[in-house]
Amino acid sequence: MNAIVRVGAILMITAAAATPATAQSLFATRGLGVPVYPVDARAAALGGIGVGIIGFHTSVVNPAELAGLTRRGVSAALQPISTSVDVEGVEDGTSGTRFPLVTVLYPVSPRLVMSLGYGGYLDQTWGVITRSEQDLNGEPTEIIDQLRSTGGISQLRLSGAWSFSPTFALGAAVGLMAGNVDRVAVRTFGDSANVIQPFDQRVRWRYSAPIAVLGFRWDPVNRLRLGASAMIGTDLEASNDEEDLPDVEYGSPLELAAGASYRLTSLLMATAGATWSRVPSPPTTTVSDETVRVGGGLEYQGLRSGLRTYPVRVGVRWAQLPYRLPDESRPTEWGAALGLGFRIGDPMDPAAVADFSIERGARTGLESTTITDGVEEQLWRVTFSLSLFAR
Amino acid sequence: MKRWSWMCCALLLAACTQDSPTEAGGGLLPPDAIRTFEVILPAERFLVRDTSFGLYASEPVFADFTIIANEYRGAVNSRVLLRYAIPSAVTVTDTLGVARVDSMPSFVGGRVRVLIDTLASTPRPTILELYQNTETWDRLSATWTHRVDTTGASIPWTVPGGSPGALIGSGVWTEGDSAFVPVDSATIALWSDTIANPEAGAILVSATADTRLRTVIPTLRLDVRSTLNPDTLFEIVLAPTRTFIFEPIQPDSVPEPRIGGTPSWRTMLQLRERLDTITVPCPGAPGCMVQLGDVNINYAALVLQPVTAPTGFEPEISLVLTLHAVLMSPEVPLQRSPVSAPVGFALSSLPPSSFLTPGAPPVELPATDFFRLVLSEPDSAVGFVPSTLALLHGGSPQAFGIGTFEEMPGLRLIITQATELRTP
Repeated sequence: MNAIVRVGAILMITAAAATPATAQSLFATRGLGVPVYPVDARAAALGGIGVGIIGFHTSVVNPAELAGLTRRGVSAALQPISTSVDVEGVEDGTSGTRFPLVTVLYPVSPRLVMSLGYGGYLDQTWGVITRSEQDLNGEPTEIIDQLRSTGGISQLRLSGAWSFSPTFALGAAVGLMAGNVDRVAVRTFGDSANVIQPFDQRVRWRYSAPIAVLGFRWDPVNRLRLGASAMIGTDLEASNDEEDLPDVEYGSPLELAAGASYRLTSLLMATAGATWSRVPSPPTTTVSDETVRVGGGLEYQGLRSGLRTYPVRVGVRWAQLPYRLPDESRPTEWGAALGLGFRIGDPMDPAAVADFSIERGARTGLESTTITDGVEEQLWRVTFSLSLFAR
Repeated sequence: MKRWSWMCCALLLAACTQDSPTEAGGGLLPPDAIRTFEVILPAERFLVRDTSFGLYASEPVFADFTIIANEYRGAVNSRVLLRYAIPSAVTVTDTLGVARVDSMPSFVGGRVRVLIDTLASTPRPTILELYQNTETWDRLSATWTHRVDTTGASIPWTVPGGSPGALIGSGVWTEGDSAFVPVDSATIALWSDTIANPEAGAILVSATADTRLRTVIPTLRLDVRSTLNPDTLFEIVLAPTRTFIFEPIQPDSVPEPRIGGTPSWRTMLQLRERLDTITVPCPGAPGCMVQLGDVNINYAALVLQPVTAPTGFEPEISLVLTLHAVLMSPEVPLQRSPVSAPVGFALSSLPPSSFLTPGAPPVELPATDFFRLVLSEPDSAVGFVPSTLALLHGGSPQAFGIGTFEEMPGLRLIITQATELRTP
């Protein structure tokens, strides 16, 4: 247990103290950014919904899925992303890393399991450089602009799951949707006399909104598991430290998620799920659409070595992205993933679990009269999650 | 377990890297996400007044140059008053090679050497004449009209311009950097006799019309024969007590900006209060007005229009225009208030031609950091914020001529706003 506490503390402190880990997307230039799914690598390889999955996973979606856990532990996921961008024939590449989730798991009794953790929600990280020319001080002057946004919104949750029976559990969570975004605008001038000083403006926005989650997990028949959850929050408030910049209030978030999995054989499981969500709507002209996300996958547990199992997973997903401008088309994304698991001990109650998935995906959309071909991002996304449990 | 712990930390820390922005996607942002525009504030919006004072240090007696002029541009005359103290004893090397003091030297003649700044002088042959002065003068206060002009005494010259007497000698400057005016032994003997010739000295003038020469201090080179080594002529060099006097005399104060000159000019610009509340339109953005205290100023420069200097007083050398904060205090009159180190420099020096004819290009005096301070909202955490500025010729050497500008300069501002940051 000491080792668990130590690793958990290291994970939490490192994640809190470090520069927020984020990954760029030009789709995050719209509204409050692009969704981050708070799922571990196992769920990411199985379609990314993270609800109604038979077996252990630590996704921060449905609190009821904690039920049945018998060991205290910590779990974290790390998600490096490499993206190639194409806008109107201009191509570039970006890369970055997210932490989709960090959580501490604590079984209070055989029926009650609690957890404290955070999961991603929206990522507003993007950075753009533009070059232009303007007549200043009587001469054509090269101008280089850097606009950068770093940060996002996460969910901090205190969750609990109660097992009414081995086949049915209810879960609930309360928490805070919180985060901050640093907006930086830098303009430099290439004047020949070098007397025009650069422009540099920074604003930090902080977000907060209380949230509550309810969910259930039900195994109606042998081999079948169903799960569903609903997350709702109050209006999201954005504040800043600038004297002349008023605070902003967004709409309230709502997310409904449902999933199911079925054990086709003793070694093969199929799962699928969907979410419907309404993200906080901005009080500007930016459009926030209600979005649907679907995903599913297969897991094969035939690879074993002694007590260790090596589950192999494949999955696909498709999702709508929530924000755009009024004259832009709706953006979407898809992904196909391959995953592998490493488990020590009982597969249903492991001592340590490490999961890995690699996903190839793309985001497209935002076609408009000014950007006729829209934006296309091809991405490679790796998710690595590690859970450690006390003996 | 330990291995897993280290792996976690390594992965977490490796993840915390900052990615570079992309050069694709500029079209996704509003074209005016960052907006830069120029504004020229007319003087009446930020200045209360401007006044120039020609009172400052570097009177002719303290200058390291002299001006000799004759009807320059039909207007300016200038003469150099000189007084050489002829020594009663000299140190010489005797026939044995030992340095000794000779108290009975004989001065067989000499010459005044006039070292001319050729780039700052009229480029034409000039006759220089050295006259005996017939009246004594006060080196600190002598002017074209008065040989003494102090608080307690005001004594005019009998003849304005120094009351020249007998001609001592003359020389012609044609080219090169030096001209020599011979001085005979009788004159040297006269100058040695301070009882018969009580500190009247000499006057060096130009006898060629429409000339103006800038020279270093004229020295007297004496040929000396010593009783200790009578076969050899020695030369000793004497620096004079000197000043130069000129006409027309300039007023103490004028309304238009002036810099340079001897005595030097200083222009005081008094700023209006609460410059941060000035609003200006954003060009190209209908209905947009910004308050200067709320925007980022990338460039701020006074814009001064050179005008023709008073006839004959155009600067003989290039001027360096500098801006200073005036350190005001209630006990000290404005014209005597000290000024700070420069807070702004013109990017290039101003050639004399800028002040010779109308239509010279405007001059910009950038002082961005300074104007950022005075254009910002008052903040008790900020100490002294100047309310008065001073323009002056901050270069070296000092100039005789005067740089003159149109009244009430404008202020050019380059301003940038970021609109994209306004929404979270």
